Amino acid sequence: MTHINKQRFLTELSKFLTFLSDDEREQVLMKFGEIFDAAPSSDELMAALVSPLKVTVELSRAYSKGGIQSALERAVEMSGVELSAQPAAESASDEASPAAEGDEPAPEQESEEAPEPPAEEPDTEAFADAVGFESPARPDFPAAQPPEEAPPSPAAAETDTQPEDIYDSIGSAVEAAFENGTDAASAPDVTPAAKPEPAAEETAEPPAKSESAPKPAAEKYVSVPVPASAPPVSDEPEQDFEDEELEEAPEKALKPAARSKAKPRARTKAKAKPAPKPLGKVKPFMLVLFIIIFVPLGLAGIAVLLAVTAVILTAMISAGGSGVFAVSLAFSGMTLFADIIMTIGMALVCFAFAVVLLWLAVWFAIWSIGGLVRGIIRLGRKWCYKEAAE
Amino acid sequence: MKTIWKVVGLIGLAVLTLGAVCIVVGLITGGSVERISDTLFANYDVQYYISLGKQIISTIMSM
Repeated sequence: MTHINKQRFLTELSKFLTFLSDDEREQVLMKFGEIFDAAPSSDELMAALVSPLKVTVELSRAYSKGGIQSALERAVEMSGVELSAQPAAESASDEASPAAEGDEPAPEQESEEAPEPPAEEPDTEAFADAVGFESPARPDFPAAQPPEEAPPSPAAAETDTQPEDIYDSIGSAVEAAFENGTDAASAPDVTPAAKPEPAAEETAEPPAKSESAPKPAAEKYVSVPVPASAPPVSDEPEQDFEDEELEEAPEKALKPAARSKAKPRARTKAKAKPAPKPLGKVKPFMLVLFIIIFVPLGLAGIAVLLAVTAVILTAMISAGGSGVFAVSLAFSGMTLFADIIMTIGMALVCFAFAVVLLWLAVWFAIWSIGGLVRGIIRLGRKWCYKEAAE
Repeated sequence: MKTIWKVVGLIGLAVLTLGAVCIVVGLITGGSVERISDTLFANYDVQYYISLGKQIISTIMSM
């Protein structure tokens, strides 16, 4: 179980850490491997880390602030595991009672998370939007969990870590997406039954809770629905999460958002094409004059250019005809092979000229006649229209 | 346009080279331009077309 959890956690984390280079990702994964090895209980560690997605968010923050070292330190902080004091911690954990084990990570986690929730809530929502996850329980927050229903108790550690439930559910949603094609066997775990037990029951039986605490933590990792006890969303304006951190977030999670963002940009780019210059007020006299002068001139010019094109085409036809004639001559009255091959050589030369002349005629017609017409139209716009007022 | 020019030029050059090779090979193997022209004049009424062309050119020149 421990091995599977560690393996899955590291696999998913490696998928999310796309904002790191390969070496840095390796470092982070190695660090988490050490953390998992040093942790007294993997379930507690999983409870402290909550989900790969949350870890990714925290790491990306730390990374943007202080680089890879800061991210590694943050990883250790989040886990609550002291890597240097591993043997002592292990021996202590062996001797300590299960109740003590169960209660240990909760205060640490609380102390870590306490200053952050206001900043994390918008992040969570942004990530939830990014992964296309909709919380079914969100609209029902006030009705489902009035403040007086949660009395202060030792189980407050769990209720205090409620922001993590959102991470949990987001992580689970992503996880479920990953698991869809790979791990169908774990599907039964993804049930609403994974919800944490009510706080009242836990206060009644503290020792039982401490024993069963790791179990909900492990289940929390794979639970899909957001519990109704999730904290109410603050009315403060959301921080601009997309600009700051969404770019650093995992590619997979951001794909829909990126797509939806990229399309409008492409559209605006297409719209940003320079619009055709609006025609100003027409000058009637100039227009008439232009038509009188330039239409005949243009037609004459087109005729001349067509004549030139026709000459080129005639040359091409002559060359091609000569080639055909030479081939027919080679196979009609020649007796010597040397003469035949010479005649065929001449025919090939004629064909070569014909091909080049054909394309020359087409190119000349397009370039010269098209250019002439465009030039006349441009001149007409310039002469016959006043410039549009800006 | 440039691409088409390149393609057409390449084809033209290839055919021209092939024709030139054929002519050179024909000359090397004993071919004769005189003999070919004799054959041409013998098989086709080329003289008629030559005189016709000369007439047209002289008419144009006299105008």
